Amino acid sequence: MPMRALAAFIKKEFLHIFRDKRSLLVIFCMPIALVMIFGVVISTEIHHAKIAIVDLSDKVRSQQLIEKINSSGYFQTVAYLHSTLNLEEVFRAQNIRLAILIPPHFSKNVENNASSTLQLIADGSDLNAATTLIGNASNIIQEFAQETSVALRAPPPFRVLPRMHYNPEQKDVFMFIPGILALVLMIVSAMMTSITLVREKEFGTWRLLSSTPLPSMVIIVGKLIPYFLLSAINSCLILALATSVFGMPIHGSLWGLLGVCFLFILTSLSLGIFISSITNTQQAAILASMVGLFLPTTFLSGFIFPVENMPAWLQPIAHIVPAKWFIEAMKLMMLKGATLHSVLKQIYVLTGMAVLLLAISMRRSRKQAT
Amino acid sequence: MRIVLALLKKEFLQIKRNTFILRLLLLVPILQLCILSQAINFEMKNLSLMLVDLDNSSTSQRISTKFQASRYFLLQEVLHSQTPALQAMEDNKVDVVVVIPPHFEKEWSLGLSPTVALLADAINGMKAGLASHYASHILMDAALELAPTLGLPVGNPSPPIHTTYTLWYNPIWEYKTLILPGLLAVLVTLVSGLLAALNIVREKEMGTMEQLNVSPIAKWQFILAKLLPFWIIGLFEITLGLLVIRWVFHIPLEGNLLLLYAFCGIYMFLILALGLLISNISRTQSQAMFVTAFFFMLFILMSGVFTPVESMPPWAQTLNKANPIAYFVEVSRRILLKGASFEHLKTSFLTVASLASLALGLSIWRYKKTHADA
Repeated sequence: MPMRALAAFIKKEFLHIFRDKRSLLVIFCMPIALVMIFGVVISTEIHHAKIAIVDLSDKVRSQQLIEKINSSGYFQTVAYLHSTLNLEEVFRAQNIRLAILIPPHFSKNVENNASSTLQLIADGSDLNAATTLIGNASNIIQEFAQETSVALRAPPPFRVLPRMHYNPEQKDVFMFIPGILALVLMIVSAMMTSITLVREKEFGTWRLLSSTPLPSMVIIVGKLIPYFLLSAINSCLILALATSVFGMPIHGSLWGLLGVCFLFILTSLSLGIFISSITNTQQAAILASMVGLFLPTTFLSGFIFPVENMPAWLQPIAHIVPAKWFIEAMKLMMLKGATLHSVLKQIYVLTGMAVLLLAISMRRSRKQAT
Repeated sequence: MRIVLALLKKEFLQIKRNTFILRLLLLVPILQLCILSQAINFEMKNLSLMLVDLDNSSTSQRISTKFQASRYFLLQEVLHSQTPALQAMEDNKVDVVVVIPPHFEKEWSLGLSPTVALLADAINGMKAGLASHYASHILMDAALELAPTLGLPVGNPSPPIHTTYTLWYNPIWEYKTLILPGLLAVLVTLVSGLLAALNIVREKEMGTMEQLNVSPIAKWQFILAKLLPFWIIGLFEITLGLLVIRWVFHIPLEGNLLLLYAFCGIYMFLILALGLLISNISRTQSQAMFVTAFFFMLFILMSGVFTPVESMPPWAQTLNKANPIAYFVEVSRRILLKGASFEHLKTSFLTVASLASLALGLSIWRYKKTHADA
């Protein structure tokens, strides 16, 4: 009897979800859009950056250098000056990112193999871009120096062979996929459940449900199962996209990986239950999950910004974000081929969090009932 | 006008009575600004490093002291076999492993150019790139310095063309200077946009919308009265955030603040009108939340707050022309850090103003007083 009641209840919940076509669309578009954005849009390479060249030399050699810079594909010269007087105005008006100052007598110095110093002025208001552009420009200039230099080069004292482990092509997307997974599962499992549970409270339908012969455990489980299934489908979708489109490897066992995903879904569901137990309106639940889940999962979990770079006082706060542990476990399992055994710590933490959250919300709801 | 005032009074009363939302509105963005800005740091310090010394010569020991003295690396241990170092990398305990091969000193002094292997954990590609860059720099420096002790001539003559660099607008390489204005924009946008998006649909769900529909209020009066309270709160929040940026983080705000406020005013109109538009076409609060979260998340990620816009493919840059947050990030940085004037920013102002009027027009048009489909 409770089994059939549970099935009926789950069917009702699914009807609710499927009636809201727009939310359903968002739930399945979001992972795809996120994976595409992190895989295609966000990169650290910069092409065709707008620059200014201040040429105080204006001879054959400086022309050659400018040509080399322009043909590199990294830069696009939008201003060509012969003095530094207007440089500040050019930075402001044309929003250029970098200025390259070629000193007087540059041509002569190159031909006489004398040294000369080029100055790079970068726009520090976007520091990431500035760092990349300075690197690109220095490389081009060094290449130019080597091409034109007539000095003989001694054999190198030793060679340095860099090898990139676990991600030989240094694809940024590998780092982001576990975080995207965490974010999407968090949104679907924690946010959606907290809203749907509070909604019943707000409209008073919770009373109706509790007056049915169903035990309250069955009601909650019935409400959670559909979201669990949606989240499970989403995790498979993201993993499939990551491996098929971006060639992300899964070195560990696939079943272990899915197991950890399901565990994280359970932790997120208990977070959702917890939020629904401390709020009374949908508005409050939405804002609380936005501020308490969405922002920390984005910023403090190591998704985009590594935890070890954070100041010492912030790291303990990052440790209470469930996504931090999930992301760690996913990276270990997907890229380093760790077994379930070596991510036991993360598994314990996630399980502990789920149990703790459930216990607190049970106590709270029992108090409210009496 | 009297009707708008009366409606405004109603909205303000509603906000005032809901202390939870009020607290959230005023406190949370500022708190998050203080906390989250600390997490955003691309600078790589304290990269942990292990040295595998298979040579055990005085030269390899000198190289290890070089790494010890470097401010980028934390030399954890000098080992004499590779396996434990690789195990440590697998356990996330070390970022870079430098392997000095056997007979290194001998081969070097004979001019055989031995190979030093540099293994980096490349899951974070950017970090690995920087780490291997720093490490090879240290090795090359060591090569120049140690050559005389092996009785060798100094290797590479320094290249004839040098480059020096300076940063304008941010001379001390401070990430906070560029992150804080953008982060403030993200937080204020997210909170006020979401509140606007939940507002009308909440009245629909509660049934209070019926009453508003039957009152003699013009559509534009209704939308305006819904928008203005959040507009005032949003600008207040921006002021609070700027004060925190100025006095807590000690970042000089150099540009024309009036110009910035003018822009924020138009920008908040755009964000709130978008929120109300979503609210008008949604049926439930959770639906409004999902649509808002989806669009705002895309806006934020593509806005250039965290990664430079120039590094995005052309189609993404074209899409960004309709991204409000991208305009905010660009304009706020140019005003605050570069001291740009209205002349320089005219196109951005005009675009955001026209986007705002478009969104406002759409949300007034989509507000239906009739109770049909909704």
